Order: sequence, then structure tokens, then C-alpha cells
Amino acid sequence: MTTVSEHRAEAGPSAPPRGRSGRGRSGRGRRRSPVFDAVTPLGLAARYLTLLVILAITVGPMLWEFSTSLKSAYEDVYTATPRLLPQHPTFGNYGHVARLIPVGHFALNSVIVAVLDVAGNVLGATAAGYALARLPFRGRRLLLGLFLSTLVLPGEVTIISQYQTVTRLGFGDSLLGVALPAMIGALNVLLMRNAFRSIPAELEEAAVIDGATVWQRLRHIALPGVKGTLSVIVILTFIGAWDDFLWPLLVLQSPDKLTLTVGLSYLQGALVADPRAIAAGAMIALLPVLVLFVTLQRFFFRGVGEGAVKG
Amino acid sequence: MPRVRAGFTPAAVAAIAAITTVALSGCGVGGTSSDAAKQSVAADAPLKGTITFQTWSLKNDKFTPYFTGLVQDFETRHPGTTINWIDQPGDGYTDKVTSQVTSGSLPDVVNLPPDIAHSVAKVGGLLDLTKNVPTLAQDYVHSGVAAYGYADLGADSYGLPWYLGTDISLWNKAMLQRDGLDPAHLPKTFDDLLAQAKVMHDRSGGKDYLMSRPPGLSDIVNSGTALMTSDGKKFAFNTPGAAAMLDKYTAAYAAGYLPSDVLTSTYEGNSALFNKQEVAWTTGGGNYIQSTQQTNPSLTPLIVPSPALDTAPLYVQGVSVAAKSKNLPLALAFAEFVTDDTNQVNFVKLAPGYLPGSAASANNPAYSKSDGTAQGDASVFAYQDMQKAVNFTPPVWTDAMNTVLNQQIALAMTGKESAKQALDNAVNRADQLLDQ
Repeated sequence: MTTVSEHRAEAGPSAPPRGRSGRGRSGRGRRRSPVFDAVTPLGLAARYLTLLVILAITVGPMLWEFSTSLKSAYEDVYTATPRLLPQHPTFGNYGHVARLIPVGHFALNSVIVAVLDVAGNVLGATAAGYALARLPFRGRRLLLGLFLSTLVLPGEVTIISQYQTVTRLGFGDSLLGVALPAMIGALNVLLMRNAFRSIPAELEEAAVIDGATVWQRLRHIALPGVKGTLSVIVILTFIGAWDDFLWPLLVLQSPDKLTLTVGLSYLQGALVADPRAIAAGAMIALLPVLVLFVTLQRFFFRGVGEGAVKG
Repeated sequence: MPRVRAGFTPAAVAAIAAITTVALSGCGVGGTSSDAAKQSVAADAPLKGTITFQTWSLKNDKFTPYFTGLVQDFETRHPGTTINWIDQPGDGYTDKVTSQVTSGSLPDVVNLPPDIAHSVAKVGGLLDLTKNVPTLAQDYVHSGVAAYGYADLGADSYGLPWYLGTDISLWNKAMLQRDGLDPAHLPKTFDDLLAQAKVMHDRSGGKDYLMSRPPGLSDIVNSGTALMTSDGKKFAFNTPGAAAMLDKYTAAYAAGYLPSDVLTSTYEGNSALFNKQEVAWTTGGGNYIQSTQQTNPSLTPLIVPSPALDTAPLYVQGVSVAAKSKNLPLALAFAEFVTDDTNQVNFVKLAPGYLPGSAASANNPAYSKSDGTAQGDASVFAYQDMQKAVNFTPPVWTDAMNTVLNQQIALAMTGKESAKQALDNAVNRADQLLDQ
């Protein structure tokens, strides 16, 4: 108790200067040393201001697109001072999009492709990542190097040869052909490998002594520890498959097989283009991504830091 | 803007390289692919069977009924034939066509702009139409036919001109009047433009702009400079005339007659600034007013059109026939049907500001009569511009060369180099790129 009260006395502004004659200042108490990470009102304001600026930069275009999609045909879209609130809000643009293209059908095609890609990555990247992280076998490092080296090639260079491969395999003009090349991402394999490596090896060694097989160790020891990374992979793969334009454009020929991004691009015609309908289409395409993110965000933020600190 | 000039993305460049590779490797397998391009199609072969017809970015409320009607009309005239009409979205068309060429699935009749047609024709993918359409020269607009003939492939043409576009000038009446300029006396030459840009700048205290575009190839051509030597092997646009033009831009930029960001990556383009009513002049296609009605209805009544300053550019869309089509007689017949005079006239009715590529109608005086609306006037100006419009961009001019030119122009306009030096550098670098 005494120490506490002494401290209080020290910190209190009315406390008399104590015996340290040389450092006492003008009758007031010793100045508080700056506390690390202390929040001053000014600092707080600066932080929130910065956050607001970033928010405006990231969310602003989306809001603008959303407000454009609600604007009626009598309002200007491109103006020097953007007006966020539509003067005559209307959902007519959404109806217009639905009338122009079979949005539901295209969205279903996109979902099929995205689900194939997500399933392929969850299964494949888990299996490959675990093998690279935990199973000793000949050529493991070489394999890892190969995975890494594929990341160096830009997609633009390989896209035509990839296209030829897929059509020769007989998957041209099919949703499977669209999904196939992205069903296991090299980057995802590396992410899973790192996530598995961050689980202490001792845990697994203990399981080995208890007689657990590889599958049991993967299922009961390793997987519960990498849920975060898995959800990151699910979201990123889903977004990647959902947003891809060029690849499905190349593979698909029949109008009834198009994915949503390719289908929506019909709104931007050569001689006719209504920016309001395009904005409405973009909003429709955004919805599933938002829903998925909201559902998985609990895991997502855990996953971002998961592989960062080594155990 | 019409989708007439495809931007070359890195993907597109890689894709074009891929076509070439595939064509080269294909030579060993069967006869050379140019045999397919040069073959003659029997003119009297009976028309039957099925072909595919591909358009570019024309499937929408406005054009879909036209194409369904067109196909039905053809099928009724020639019983036993089926035409599958497909349409590709605007983005990524170069890549799409490349993938179709490499996989041998290029549709029988295909709508291609001259630059994409060039890369397909280079690998023997298109039928030589000079050889197979004897009336090509009489039936189609000369400048359009010329746009599909390539110096590196001989004199023959690989496309039937379909619809032609050009640029006109568009002015914001309210801004002109606000700054004391008379919309009845619009600039007719580049020097007029400079003078009025000064007035606008001075009267508005530097707030309003008339000019909002850095100079480019079109300005060099308008300065009376030929872009290449007469044999077409070297660039030669580093002339005193071009340097004088660039100096005028530099002076205008230094005086603040152009927005300062036209040389930076934040430059949105003159039509975007025009739509925001920050600048009072832009160039655009003949349908600019109509498309502005869709984006900025309150701006439309303020737009005054006028003919392009100096020489107008020519944009061409054409219809080509795939050399490897399995039903060449039908493909050729349908391509000629699509581009015949009646069908072209009907098509252009849906696309005001454009002109048919068929010779019989292109010079029809009906196109020089306005219905009194601003869009009607714009269509007339487009018609007038079209008479002297040229497709001045050489087919060998690449995106990389354009980047070099823009960089050098930016250096000159910011005073880091003399205009002469900048043009010399651009010519040298473009020649190097040409030799690669």
C-alpha cells in the first residue's frame, strides 16, 4: 500500500518536490516521462483522420458505383463534383441489366467455376502443403523450388499455351476447362506449407508415439491449427475465380456457358453503353463476394497473421 | 467512342507473338498457310450448310433485332443454309481472336478492325478478298479497302469495309459564352484554337480550359509532315514543321492553356474532362452527342458540333472471311450480303454519325442533310470529315512506339528537351523498334 500511495503522491500535481534538489523543477511535480504508445487527443485525431482518408480512397469508388447504379436516366453521371445521393433514385437499372442478360444463369456458371476452384485448392493445397511441410521424402526441396519457380512466370505469357492444353484435353467451351488451371495454386500450396510448419513439431511427434497415422495427424493435429490460412485461401480463390475475365472469355464459346464477368461485359457495347446499367451489373457481381467475406471474416483475420510468427 | 482501335495490352502482345509461333510451327505439318489465304472460291458453288458469323460488341437492345433480321433474311433467300450469329464482348477481343486462330476455331465470317485483321492475315488466317471479290474496288469505299491492305502482305485486301467512323469537334456552348467566346465562330485551325484557348484562359482566370490533349501522331500529320519515308522503311517525322507544332504546344502548356496533368498518368482524357465540364473542347465520334445523352443528359443541350480541325482520322470496321472455313462459298456469300449496300444503309440508320463502307451509299447526299438537331448536325459534319479522312496510323506503329513518342513529347513540353531533340529521339527509338 505504501508504494502505491507514494506513487500517487509523486504523480499528483500538488506533491511537493522531494529531496532531489538538482532535478526538481519550479515547485511542480516531476514531469511524467512520455509513455510509449500513449494516445494524446491530437494523435487520436490524426489517426482517425488518416483512417477516414484511407476509407474514402478504398470505399469511395464503390460508393460512387453504387450511387451511379441508382441514378435515373435524367441525372448526369460524370460531373466535376460527384454527387453521391441520387436525386431520383431508381432500381430500374437493375431491372434493365436483368432484361439484357440472364444474370442468374451467368451467376450460377460463375458459382460452379468458383466452387470447383475452391474445392480443388482446399483439398490439393492442404495435401501438397502438408506433404512439403511434414513428410520427409526424396526431392522435397527440389519440388518446393519448382513450386516457387512457377510463381515467376507472368500469366500473360502462358495463357495461350494453357488455352491450347485445355482445348486439346477436350475441355474447351466447358466450365471445367475454365476452372481447371486454377484448381491448385502454387502460392496456396506454399501458404499451407508455411501454416503447417508453424505448428510445433513436438505435437506431431507425440502423436507419432501414440501411434497416429499420417491421415490421423493431418486430420486431428494439423488441420485445426490452419483454419485461418484455409479461409484466406477460400476467399482469395473464390474472388480470383469470380473476377477472372480473360481466361473464361478465351475458353467459353457458347452464350449459355458464359460466366458473370464475361456476361456483364456485354453491357458495354461498341456503340451503346449505359454507365448506370454497367454500375448495376458491377453491384450484382459484388454481392456474393461480400457475403462470403462477411461469413468467413472471423477466420480470415486470424489467418492473416497465422504464418507470420514461427512457433 | 467506337471500339475501332484495340489497345495492345501485354497479354495482347504475347498473344500476337503466340499466333506467329503457332503459324511457323504449323508450316511443317501441312501446306503453307498462305495457300489457304490465296485460294479462289468457286463463285457458282451451291450455297448450303452452316456457318458462324461473329460480330464485336454489337449484341444489345439496339442491334440484336437487326442481326436476327439479317440472318433470317439470308436464310429465306437461300433455303438450306443456317447462320449462327455470335457476338464477342468489347474487352479482350485481340486475345479472343488469337485463341480462336490458334485453336482453329475462328468463325467463318468475322468482324475485325484493321489491326487485328493484320495479325490474323499475317499467319494466313484470312481469305484474300481482292482475289475473291472481283467488284471489291467498285463496290466499297476506297479508303476502307485500303485500310485492310498491308504493305508487308502484298497489295491485296483482307476485309470488306463495313462501317466507317471519324472524329468531329465538340464544344461546350455555355463555357464558351461564359468566357466571352462566340459559339458561332468556332476555331477552324490549330492556330485559331490556340488564340481562343488564350482568351478562355485569361477571361476565366485560368479556371477554364479549351485545350486538354497533349499532341500525338494526328498533330504531327496535321503539321504537314509525312510519318514515314516514301518506301515505308523508316520513320521521318522529325521535320521542322512538326517541331514548330510541338513548340506551339510547349508555349501553350507553359502559359497554362492546358490542364497541368495532361502529361501525367492522372490524365483522364479530353472527353472525360469535357463530360465533367472542366474543358470546353473535345474530339469524338459522330455519335458523341447521342452517347452523352446516356451519361450526362444535362450536358447534351450545351454541345455544339463542328468539323474536325485539319485532317480527320478514319476508323474502319470490316468483315473478313476465315481462310480455313469449311464452307467458303457460303461464308463469302454471307460476308458480301452483310456488307451489301442495302444492309449497310440499314445498319448505319441505327448508328448515327457513322457511314456505310459501301461505295453506292457512302457518297449519298442524304447524309449531308441535317434534321436540325445537334446530333443531326454532328452526323453531317462526320459525313463531311469522312470525305477527306485518312487512316494515318501506319500498321507498323506499335504501342511501344507510341509510349516513346509520348515520353519525348512530355520532355519537350516541360522544357527538358528542345522539340527538335525530342522528335529526333522518338524517330531513332521508333526505327530501332521497327527493326526488331
